[in-house]
Amino acid sequence: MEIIQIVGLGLIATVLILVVREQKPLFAFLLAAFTGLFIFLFLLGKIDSVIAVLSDLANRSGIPSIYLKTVLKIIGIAYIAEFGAQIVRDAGQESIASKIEFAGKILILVMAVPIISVIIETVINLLPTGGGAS
Amino acid sequence: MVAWLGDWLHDIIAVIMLAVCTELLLPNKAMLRYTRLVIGLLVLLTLLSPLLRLLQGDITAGLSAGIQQWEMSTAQRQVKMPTLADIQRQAEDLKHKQQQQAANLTGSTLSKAMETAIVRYTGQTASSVEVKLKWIKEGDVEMVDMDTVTVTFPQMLPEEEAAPPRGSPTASDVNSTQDGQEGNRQIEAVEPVSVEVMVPEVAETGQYNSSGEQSDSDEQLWQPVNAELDKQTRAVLTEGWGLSPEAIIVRQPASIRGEK
Repeated sequence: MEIIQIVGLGLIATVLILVVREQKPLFAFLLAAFTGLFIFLFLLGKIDSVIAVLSDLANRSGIPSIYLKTVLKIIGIAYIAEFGAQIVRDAGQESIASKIEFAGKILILVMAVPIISVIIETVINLLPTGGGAS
Repeated sequence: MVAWLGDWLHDIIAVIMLAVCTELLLPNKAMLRYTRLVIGLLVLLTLLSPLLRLLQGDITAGLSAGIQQWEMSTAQRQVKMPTLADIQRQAEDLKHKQQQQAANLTGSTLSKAMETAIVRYTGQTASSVEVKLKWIKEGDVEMVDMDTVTVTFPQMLPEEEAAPPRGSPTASDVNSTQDGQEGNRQIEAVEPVSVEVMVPEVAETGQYNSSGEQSDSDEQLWQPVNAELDKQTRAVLTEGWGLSPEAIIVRQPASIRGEK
């Protein structure tokens, strides 16, 4: 029944923000930010169970733990970047929001660097050594 | 061959399921392309793993080493300072360790002093004196105090003691009182029993051995010493160190039937 709580909280926050916005736009923004933060933290516990299932799957199937670690880092970066970008976007700063998303994308790509380096190394080793042999 | 193929397929299926779950978990479409790239690389690595293993040993180790190196190079840019809480916790640990060492030293010194005093006043050499310490809290400071003192005497034969031991006398006790005196004098000269090993001195006299094997009813490892020695020892410890009489245990190893 958490969905009722969350929707109720969202509706109340929306009404309050509509009321307050005319007088104090700053407080309306703060209210929106804190509502978003609360819902985010509220759902963090639920995500925990999904991640537990994922790690259980990884452990049981014997895939290297480094894969799971990378995947979990990707999910975490995506969530945090998304959350920050949404709050900033609510405040009307579209450009900063897009910069935050950009940073998230870059950090996700950074995760791929060691994997890419291993693959490239292998492919180079695969080639016959010494180009002059052909 | 089939097992190897099964392992490989198993790995691939697991990685793909992981990828699907990850895509479900992602918050928005903006990150999807980038995430897909990384996860696609992971799947590719899994697909290639037999080939890679054929070519260059263990790839997983190399991969984790690479990632660790990457993380270290990013972490080095931030100066790592121990927080105040860390330092305080360390100080607390050190203090506790120091107190523990001081208490151990106190215990060993006390037991040595008690041993000397017992030898001087009772004329019997105790084979070991153990002092158990306890911690008392007085306000903020924790103080150490003696909890119990266990005095262990080498085993003595019942007939050379003035009174029979207070522990239930068994058949072998009765048997042994009929033995001659010469065996006992001989036994007294033997060095004291070490408590842990529990070598019975009486094993040297044949009569004792035979009588000990006949009765194996008593399973106790320890028995009280004779009343006079017990009283003397208790008096020494009570007067010298202010111990309450119930905190003192005076004992000796049970005779050979106990170990059988």
